[in-house]
Amino acid sequence: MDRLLVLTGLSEASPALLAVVISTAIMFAAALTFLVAAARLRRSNSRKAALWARLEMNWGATIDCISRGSAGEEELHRRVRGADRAVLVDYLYKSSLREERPARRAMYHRLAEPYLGVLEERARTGDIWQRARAVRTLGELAGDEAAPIILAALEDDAPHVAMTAAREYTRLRLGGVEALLDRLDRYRTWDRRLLRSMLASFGAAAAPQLRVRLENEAQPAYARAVCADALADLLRDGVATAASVATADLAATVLQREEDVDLLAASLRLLQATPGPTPRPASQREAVRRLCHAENDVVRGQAVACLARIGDEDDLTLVDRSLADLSPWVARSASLGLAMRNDLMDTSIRGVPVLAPDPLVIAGMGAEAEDGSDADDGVFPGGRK
Amino acid sequence: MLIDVAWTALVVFHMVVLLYFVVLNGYYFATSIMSFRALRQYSRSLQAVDTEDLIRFGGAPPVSILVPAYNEANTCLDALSSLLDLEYPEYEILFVNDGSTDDTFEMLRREYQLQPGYRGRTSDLSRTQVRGIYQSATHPRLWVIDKENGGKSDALNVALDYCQTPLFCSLDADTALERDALLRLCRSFLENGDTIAAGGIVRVANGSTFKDGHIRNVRLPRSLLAQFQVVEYLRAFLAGRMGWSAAGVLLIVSGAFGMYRREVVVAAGGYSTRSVGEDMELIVRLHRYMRERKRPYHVGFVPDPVAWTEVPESLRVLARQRDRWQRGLLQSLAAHRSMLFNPKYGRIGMVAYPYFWIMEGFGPVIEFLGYVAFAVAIIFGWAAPEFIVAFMLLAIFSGIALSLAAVGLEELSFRRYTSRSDFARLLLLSVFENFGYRQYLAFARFRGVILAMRGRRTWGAQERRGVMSRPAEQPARAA
Repeated sequence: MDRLLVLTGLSEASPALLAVVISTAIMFAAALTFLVAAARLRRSNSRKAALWARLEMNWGATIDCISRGSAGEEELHRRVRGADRAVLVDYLYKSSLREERPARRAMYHRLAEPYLGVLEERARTGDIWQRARAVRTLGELAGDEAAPIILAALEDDAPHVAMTAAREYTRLRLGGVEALLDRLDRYRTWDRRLLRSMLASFGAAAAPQLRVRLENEAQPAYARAVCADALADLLRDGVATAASVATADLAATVLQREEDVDLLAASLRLLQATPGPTPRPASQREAVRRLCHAENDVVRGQAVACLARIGDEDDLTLVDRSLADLSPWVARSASLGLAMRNDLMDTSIRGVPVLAPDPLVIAGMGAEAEDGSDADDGVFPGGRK
Repeated sequence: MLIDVAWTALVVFHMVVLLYFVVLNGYYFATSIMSFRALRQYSRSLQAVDTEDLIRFGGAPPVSILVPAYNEANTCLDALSSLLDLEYPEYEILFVNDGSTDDTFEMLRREYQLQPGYRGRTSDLSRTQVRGIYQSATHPRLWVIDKENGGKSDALNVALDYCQTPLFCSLDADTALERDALLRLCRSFLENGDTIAAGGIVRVANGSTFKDGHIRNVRLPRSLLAQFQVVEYLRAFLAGRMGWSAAGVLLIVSGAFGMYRREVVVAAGGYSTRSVGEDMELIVRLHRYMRERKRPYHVGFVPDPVAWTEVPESLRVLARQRDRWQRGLLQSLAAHRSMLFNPKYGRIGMVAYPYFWIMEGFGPVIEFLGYVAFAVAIIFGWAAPEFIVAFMLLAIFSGIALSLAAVGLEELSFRRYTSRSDFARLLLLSVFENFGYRQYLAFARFRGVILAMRGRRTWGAQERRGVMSRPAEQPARAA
């Protein structure tokens, strides 16, 4: 060290200068290291990208020949080197996702078959992202045959892998909705809209199970809210209307007994979505009327909108009063609810800060109401697309 | 005697500058390291995600894109054409004409055949008069709210008042989104139900080729000033915000491109009209709001959703922009100063807030006066020349190292600049930005501090040339 100081002429430097010089040397070394690392990374990335592009071009040409019948499938297998197998599977996976023609998709799946063993292994032993990707790829390329892997992945410790498996399970319909309902707690961190959409995609067959879970007070409130919203989705889409009276009664019971804001809002949406004559039985209306005075804006807004849908003439006066609610959200819900009843349009316009109440405005308002728009419900004017 | 006092003051100030330098660079290196780890993990996670899945599967929540605009006739049509063609299942655009004095509104009216439409208010945040609400006859998802001038925050509040979706995305009118940007940004809300705000990356549009508002060919700008800003944006987003986000202490989501949970923003009071840095102020307030109510929440940065924006190509406009950013930063911090070193606010109060106050808020004063003090010391022979030279070299090499690290992070993750010459130029820019450009920014930010202390709250005129509608520049060079 002393010799180094002498060599650099720093033997008599002050400690402060020495510290600065050493720091400068370190920074210089760091800058050089980053420069070299960035350049090497660039070279390696460029080579990899060029290699993949070349491979994919060759494979694409071969697959075109296979699909035209001018080459056999073994031609592609012959061209795949051991190290490129994972790249081929990835290529076939992406091609399959983009492909709409069933015959061509089936060909991709067939071509991938000999290489899926690697993925099965990866689905068990890889890191989180490898496992998730393997489950997704197997679901796409192996379909039902990947069922054991996907079912096992439903139990994966990593929420991301478990969710990927749940989505593959749903997409491939590997079983009933119970498997997911039993594991709702595992998906707790995910957005509820995603869960509800996943559950609703099981269709009418899921409705009885969803009702059972909604009724079960031992279930966490968030899980019951998800079930209520999934049921509402099914009803809105005209599916699962068979037990709609029982569903409406169930929603009303939840409204009477529970206090969780999300569960109340979801049950109000459910009650609103159930088909049936208007006005509804007194017990249902009473449960909703009580919530028209709730402290929470969202619950109050949902209750007002629901009451406009299921209430009698007396209830409508309560809804009418809500047009002057301090919360614009509640006032808007009331106006939309009334517009939907289609008999108090002029009153509703009075209560909303409309800028130019001309026929266009009224027409627009009617359209908004018909969409059943509701931000909490995940829909806005323009409707479900 | 006076000389002695001056000399002592100078020595003390040099110590302050040294300390500031060490702490600031320590922070930068720490965030770069955290960014490196977070970006690596994020890049890996992308392998397991297909954005198309979100569309196919449903469940992606509806989003409103709020676009406040004041005199944006040059850029708004290009930006809107990109927004009307996004890959997202359910979204609408609320474009707010904030009393423009140019023909922004007329252009929109003609181009999109605007007709009066009805929308109910969902909140009551704004204070200015709305003149009319219009819906496009050709693109029903486009709504235009015409209002009297009230500033950007008020325009955003008006849009929020008419926003009916659970999520909203705030966007500058000169910004073009990539087609899948909303989907990618929305992922953070889907995967974590506690997310209340998330920001995407903002990249420099100058120099790149656009068609119908969408990026076609990513290239570096021709202007050297804009090129420096490319490196600066990479450093700020990939090496800075990514690291802050990984540490759970992100205090800024860019107003140019961020997504928020409407319900929470409305409950927290919407955008502040008292600050020119409304984006940062909102995030600080959201942290405060959620922590005071002890509610779980997450504010994050997502590096792959991209918004392309035009950056200034003249020193004068750049200085004005940075002066405004600095004032916005100080105003946001001052509005919530009770959070400073307040353990009630956890890491935000104890780490992020002090860092932003001292290092980013008043750092430019130390930095700028540091240059002056060193100059004085040299002129009067009060400091050893070798010390001054060594310290200057240290500052330059650490700046170069940080910028090169940011370029490396870009290469590690998204490598948007595919041209070899652009990459080489990025490396060179990382070196040369330390000679003049950084010092100029220090001066602009120093000026911002002074103006903030004098209470200036105006935005100042902005000049935009509409780089997304200038196709001529790129093809010639690409050839």
